Amino acid sequence: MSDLEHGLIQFFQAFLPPLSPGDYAVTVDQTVREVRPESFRSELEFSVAGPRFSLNPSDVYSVYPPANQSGAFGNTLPHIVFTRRTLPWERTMAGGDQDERTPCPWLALLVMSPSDFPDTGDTAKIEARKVEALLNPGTGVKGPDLKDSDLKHYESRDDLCNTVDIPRALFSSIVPARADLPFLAHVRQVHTGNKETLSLKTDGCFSVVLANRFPETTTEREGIRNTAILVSLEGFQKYLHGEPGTIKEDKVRLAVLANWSFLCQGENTFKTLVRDLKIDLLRLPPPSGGTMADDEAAGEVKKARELGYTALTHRIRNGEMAVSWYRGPLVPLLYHKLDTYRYVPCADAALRYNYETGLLDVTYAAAWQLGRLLALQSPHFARAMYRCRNQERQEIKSQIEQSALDRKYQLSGKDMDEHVMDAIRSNPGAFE
Amino acid sequence: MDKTFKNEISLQLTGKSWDMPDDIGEWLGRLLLLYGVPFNYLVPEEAMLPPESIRFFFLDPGWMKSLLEGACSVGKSSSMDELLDQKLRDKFLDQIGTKARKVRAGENGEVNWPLTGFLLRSDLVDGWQGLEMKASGVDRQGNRIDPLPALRIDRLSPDIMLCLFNGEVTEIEIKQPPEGLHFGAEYDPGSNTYHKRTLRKLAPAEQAGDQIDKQVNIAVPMRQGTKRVVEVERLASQMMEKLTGESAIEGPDFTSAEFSVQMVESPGKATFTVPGGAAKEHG
Repeated sequence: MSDLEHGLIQFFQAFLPPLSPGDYAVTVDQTVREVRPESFRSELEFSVAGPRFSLNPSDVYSVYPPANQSGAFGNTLPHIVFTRRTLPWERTMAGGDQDERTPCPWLALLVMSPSDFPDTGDTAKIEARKVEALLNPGTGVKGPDLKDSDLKHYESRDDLCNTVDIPRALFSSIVPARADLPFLAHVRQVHTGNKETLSLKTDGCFSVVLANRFPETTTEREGIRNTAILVSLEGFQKYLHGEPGTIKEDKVRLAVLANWSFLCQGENTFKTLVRDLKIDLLRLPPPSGGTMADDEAAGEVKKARELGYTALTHRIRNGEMAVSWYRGPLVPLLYHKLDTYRYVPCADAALRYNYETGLLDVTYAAAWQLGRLLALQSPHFARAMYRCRNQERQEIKSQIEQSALDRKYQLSGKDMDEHVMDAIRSNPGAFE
Repeated sequence: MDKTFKNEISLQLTGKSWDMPDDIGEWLGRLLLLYGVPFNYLVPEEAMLPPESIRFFFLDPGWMKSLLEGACSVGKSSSMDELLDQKLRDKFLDQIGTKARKVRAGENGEVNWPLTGFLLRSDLVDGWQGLEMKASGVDRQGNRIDPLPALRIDRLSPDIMLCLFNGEVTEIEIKQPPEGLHFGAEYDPGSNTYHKRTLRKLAPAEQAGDQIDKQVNIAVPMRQGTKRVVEVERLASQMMEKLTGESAIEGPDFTSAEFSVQMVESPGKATFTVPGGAAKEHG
């Protein structure tokens, strides 16, 4: 796939998996005529597994509308984004291979709201059941047209999966038609350059399943809770909207692979949130007038706040309580990096006292102390630092000793042996 | 310490360069990007960052120097160490900056002071994973840099995001993540109907995605006897028909890819300018 320019989105009809889930066998025949006429044969059996009754939560990249968010989503078709780009086409509803010209997803996203359940007034209830209870749901409930023998050896009747029972009439009216389904899944590629660091991991290729129904909305303040449910349509190909199959049972039981809910109400879209953001520099708002005893103090506080300072309670070492100025590393005005900084041997040396106001500024002292505490909290760093200092110390010490010796004996050019020999020659008597 | 000895050490340190070991440098590099610094040290009072606000800032190099100096003070045992520290003081902020650039994208080079950024506190952060933050700024000579590389983009809590850029930000663009973009149609509450009023060109290739100038009006076909259920295939064929009429599609195929392009509601985006225009200088 080509690299995308920043901000571009590319859409694809589908990404088909190279192998659809199932059991495979590889057989290799080799005939070596010189040795024997029959061929040598080797066989290897393997299975390609894929999600069927449940989905790994990490396969879901995001959903829209965002889960539990409330907003004006009434005009949007909910959708779910998967990190696996082949996911919607890894199976087919009836089993067998995908039709390569018009691939059809085996998943559908159903949207429901309380008004769909006039009897209970509640929304669809998701229940964890065993696969057994999905395939053989008992009287009055229709499960997928799958038999126990359709399970693969790595799937078990005792596996747990999420399921939902919905009234037959509701199922038939909201489930997509066979002709709709191919339009409801696609793949999109986006450029992930400027994302949160966390999202950098993905390659920017996502598969998407789209709902075929708009959520129910209201102008009431409390909104309406809509539920989006991603279901497997495997074994339901005969009962889609407009298909001849009829369901006799009252309810339909579906495997739920993902579900979330959101509130539909009022104005809280991306656009309105962005429009209403309040922009400023990072600092406290100016003090509201009237509370300050004298103008001078008020002016002082206003000035300090403009510079990003906060007055905090400060417990001084002798136990007294005072108010001191503090400002974090994020300031509302530009300070240039200096070429030379004053050396600060300990936190207290960074305290600043204002003689005019009698207040302390603890900003840099707090920073210094925090740095030391963080370093001590990280044993790995503290040890590395100590090791490094020790090494430096040794090095300097030995250099100093060396240069002291050098100076004492004025060793320039000659080595020690020559000095000794010189000394002996010049004063032979001294060594006898 | 005796004075001659002190001079002696200074002499030894003259011209000495110190290569920071990697394990120390990496840790300090992350510290320069404020990893591990408790939030109340960054924003001591809530009123500085109220709900639904965006707050721009400069990183105070003096504060960072104090923080790093405090961190480096561990393992100090004699006044000889202090002399070494004094000597290295001015270089180590730069050395650590180089390490800091490696943290996010593994880039080489020094950081370009002043470092700047913003805090965003909003439901946007919570509701839209993978918001795109694109910054542009100016260098010391006043030349525009676009885009300004990010040093850190991180969520500090579900609704607070911290972004730090390598240089002076003048403008940022927040964009709805394209893979979180959505599909939909216009809703008319009066008649309780949904409409598609604009379509996008699919051909010629270089104009793909552009809107067709002419307004179209496709009433989204709804399944009879149901509430809000779209007849997707019929909608797709109506779109196909309109696009063919406008010569905005090539070939006979109209698949889920073409359909999605038409259904996409453009991702929202917004640009914010740092208040006060050119930065006030101080110190």
